[in-house]
Order: sequence, then structure tokens, then C-alpha cells
Amino acid sequence: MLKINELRTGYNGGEIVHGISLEVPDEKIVAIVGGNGAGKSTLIKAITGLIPTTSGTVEFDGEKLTGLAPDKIMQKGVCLVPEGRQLFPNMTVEENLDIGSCTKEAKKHRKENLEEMFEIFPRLLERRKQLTGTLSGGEQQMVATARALMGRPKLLIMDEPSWGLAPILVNEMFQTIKMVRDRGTAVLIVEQNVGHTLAMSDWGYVIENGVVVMQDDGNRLLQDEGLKKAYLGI
Amino acid sequence: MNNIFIAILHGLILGGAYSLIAVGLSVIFGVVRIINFSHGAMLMASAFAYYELFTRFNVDPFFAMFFIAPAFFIIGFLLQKVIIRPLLIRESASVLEPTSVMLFTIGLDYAICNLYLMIYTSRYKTLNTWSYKNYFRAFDNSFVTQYSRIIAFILCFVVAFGLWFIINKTELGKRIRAVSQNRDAAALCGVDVHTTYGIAFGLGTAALAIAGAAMSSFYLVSPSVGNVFGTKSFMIVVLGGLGSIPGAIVGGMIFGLIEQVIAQFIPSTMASMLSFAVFLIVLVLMPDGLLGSRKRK
Ligand SMILES: Nc1ncnc2c1ncn2[C@@H]1O[C@H](COP(=O)(O)OP(=O)(O)O)[C@@H](O)[C@H]1O
Ligand SMILES: [Mg+2]
Repeated sequence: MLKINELRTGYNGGEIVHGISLEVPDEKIVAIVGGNGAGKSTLIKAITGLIPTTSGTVEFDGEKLTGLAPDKIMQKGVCLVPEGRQLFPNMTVEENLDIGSCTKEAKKHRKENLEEMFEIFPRLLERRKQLTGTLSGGEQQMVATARALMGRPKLLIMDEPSWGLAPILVNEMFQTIKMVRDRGTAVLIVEQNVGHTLAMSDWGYVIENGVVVMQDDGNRLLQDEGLKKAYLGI
Repeated sequence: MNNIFIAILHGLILGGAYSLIAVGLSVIFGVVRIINFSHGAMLMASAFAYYELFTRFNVDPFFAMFFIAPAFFIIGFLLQKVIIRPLLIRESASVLEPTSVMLFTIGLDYAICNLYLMIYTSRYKTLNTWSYKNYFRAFDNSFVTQYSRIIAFILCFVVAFGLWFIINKTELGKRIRAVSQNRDAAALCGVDVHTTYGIAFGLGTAALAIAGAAMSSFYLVSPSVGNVFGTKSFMIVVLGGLGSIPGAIVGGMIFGLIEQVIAQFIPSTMASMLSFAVFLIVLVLMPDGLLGSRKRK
């Protein structure tokens, strides 16, 4: 489904991602873990078209995404829950979800998708008319996820969705991600919560200083002594 | 009738015209975050379009605006899409505030003004239209003003309501607000950011062309007319709160009132200075303007 080949990117001459290759198969959860500043978000920004790539390719369902603008990439079926949520703070929950489904294709299914989102996140139904800037962190994360799902993605990318969430909400969020996968949407997730993430992932990549240093089945990665020491503190 | 009351009426009517001229500027800033310094020059350019249509074909500006405003929508849209967009894209990679775009609009202002100076010379022209020549009278002839000013006052609310409605009550408006609140997030949701910018720019420019119809019917037309109203527009928009449509109305009314009411007591040049003073005081006390919203993260 998503195939990244030798991708290099960065900001204004300073290269951050030094040739990363990775793959997300259909209906699987793939995790990217790694320390702060390893280049995970930079990689995600390049995949979704927010920053240009210097070399390498991003392919999605056989089509090249490299060089496309973010809105065009989204229309191919790749939706992002960005780092820090990036909601529209002065718009209501419902308006945020409407924007998530503002493309021609998604708009056709807006009503049914909205109902589905309110089923998955009943809390959002209560807060429907509230400005998202006034929501709690957990609720904001729900809006960000629902907004991305409103675009009917084939691939959902999430950049640190557990950031700033209370432990109980983190559990709920991981349940939601599994449910998204089980509905047939592939998920690429970047997380600091390494144990939890790898345990549910079909495949995991460990990124350090802009390169992939390890990759394996999620649960097998968790057994790795070096990884345990570096990320789980055991 | 009480003099002060009449002066207040004049102030509100003048304020309506100021607000009408300023509201497009506010919309463009609110969405695209660009201060369009060519605002005054475009107002002047639209006034000359009305001048030509009136002197050659005897078309009243308030009728011609139904064609000129859509034409200015297209001009604004293309200006954004063809010239400003590449500047924004090039710059968004390096800095947050689009300086080169601001400099570009300043340059454009000079270019347009001088082009019109070359073509039309600096002589003042008046458009002797029906609404220019005829006066509205009320309160036993103690309140007398040109019909064009009354129309400008009404148009101010019509245009402001129209813009408010588009931005707050339509699907297009949702996209416009999304882009203004978080450009990258909107793009990630599939919104074509630069087309949306173009539409916002076009809407602001079309509103300006409507203001041009009013201004050319109650004021003079000359290449320097943009400077008179351009500078005031910036102050009005900042006073009311950048990007706020009601703010543009409140700001315009305050300017109109100061100029008309205070001028009853002190020389009118002093009254102009006073509007600058009020502007500065408000900015010091309320940096976001009277109705501006404090930026949330
Ligand atoms: N907008 C930016 N401009 C310049 N450098 C950046 C920018 N964003 C991130 N960086 C740098 O890129 C490196 C990787 O950051 P990032 O991809 O956000 O890491 P991660 O998501 O893995 O924590 C860091 O050194 C960071 O300082
Ligand atoms: Mg990150």
C-alpha cells in the first residue's frame, strides 16, 4: 500500500532524514518508534507533502505521491492526525469534522460518517457545538482522530496521538486504533509510548538520527535487549 | 435640531463609508494574513473604472458596480493565484511572516498610482451623478447630506453582512475559516489552500470595488485618492481588530464620529490628529484592537 524508498528530507538545507525505506501493507498497523528529535515527524511531514523531499520516492497504491501538495495526497486516501493535533480552535467540533470531509468524495458520505464518529466517540456528540479550542486534551485528540477518519482514509497516519493524554485515555485510544485497523484501514503510527505501541503493531521500525536502525514484528522487537534498555528502561 | 445630534448623524454616515472601504482589507488580512498595501490604489483604480463608465456611457456607479465588483473579484483572485502564491510558497519554507508579499503589495501600490497619474494626470474629477447632485434632507432641513453617502452607509451593512454570511454560514466559508486558523491542517484535510486564499482575496477586492462605487459618487476621483482612504482603512482595521468584520464597522464609525463630532469643538485638522491619538491609545491598551480576538494557540 504505502512504499517509501530511500527518502531524504529536511529543512532548508539541513538534512534530517537520511534515506529511509519503509512499507505499510494493507490492513496492518505499522509503528515508528525512536527518541526525541530522531526525525519521525519530519518523515511524516514529507510523506504527507507538508515539506518537500530531496530524493527518494513515496508510492501509494502504485501511484507516486512525491511532489504532490498535501491536499492532493489527502485525496488519494492518506489522512494524518498531526503532532499536536492542529485543530481549528475557533470552530466547533462539528465544523472541524466537516472540514475533514470537505473533499468531493468524502462529502457524499459526510452524514453517515459523522454518525459513525459519534458512535465511536460519544463524547464528541455531547460537545458537538463547542469550540475545539475549549476542549480538554483527550477530547481534542478525539476530534483530531475523527477529523482524519471523516476523510475516509485508506491509510491513517498518526503522529504521537498519546501525547499529553491521561493513562486511561491512552488505553482507549489504542483500542480505537485497533478498531480502525479491523475496519480495513491501514495505520502508520509514530509513538513515544513504545511498549504499548509495539505490542499492538504488526510491524515496527526503530529510527535513530534519521535512519532505520532496526525493524521487525512488533512483539519480537519488544524482546530486543537493546531496545528494552533504550526505550523501556528495563 | 441639536447641533451635536446632527453631527453624530453625519459622523455615522461618514463612518459607514469608511467601514465600507475598510472591510475588504480586514477580510483579506483575516484569512490570508497579508496586509494588502495596494488597497488604496485598487480603490482608486475602481473609482477610475466608474469614472470611465459614467463619462463615456453615462452608467451610474451604483449600477456599474454589479459588473465592476465581479471583475475586481477576478482581479483579486488572479493577483493571489498568479503573483502572491509563488511568493508565499517560496517563503513559507523559510519564514513565518510573508515579508516579500508585503513588500510586493507596497510596490504594486506605487506602480498602480503612478500608472494612473501618467494616464489621467493629477487633476481632480467629480462624477456628477444623480446621487452626487441630490441631497437627502431630514429634521426640517437641519440634516442634509448627499444621497450617495446614504447609499454608502446602507451598502456598508449590506456588504459586511454578505461577507459575514459567506464566511460564517457557508461551506466555502468553513474552508476559509479553516485555512485562516491553521493553514497546514486545512491542507491535510484536502482543502486547496491557495485557491481558498485566492477566493478570500477576490472577496476583499470585490468589496473594495463596491466601496469605490460609493466613494466616486460622493468624493473626488484622482490618482491620489487612494492615499486619503488607504491609510485610514489600515487604522480603522487595526483599531477594530484585524480580521474582524464587526470590528471594521466599529472602527469606521469611531473615525467618522471623531471627525464630525469633535470638529464641532476644535479645528478639523486637530480632530484628525485626535483620531490618530485615539488609535494609538487603543493600540497601547488593547493590542488586538477593539473586537480582535486574542490568538489562541
Ligand atoms: N520546522 C523545522 N525547521 C527546522 N528544523 C526542524 C523543524 N522541525 C524539526 N526540526 C529539527 O528536525 C529534527 C527532527 O525533528 P522531528 O522530526 O520533529 O523529530 P521527532 O518527531 O522524531 O521527535 C530535530 O533536530 C529538530 O530540531
Ligand atoms: Mg515528533
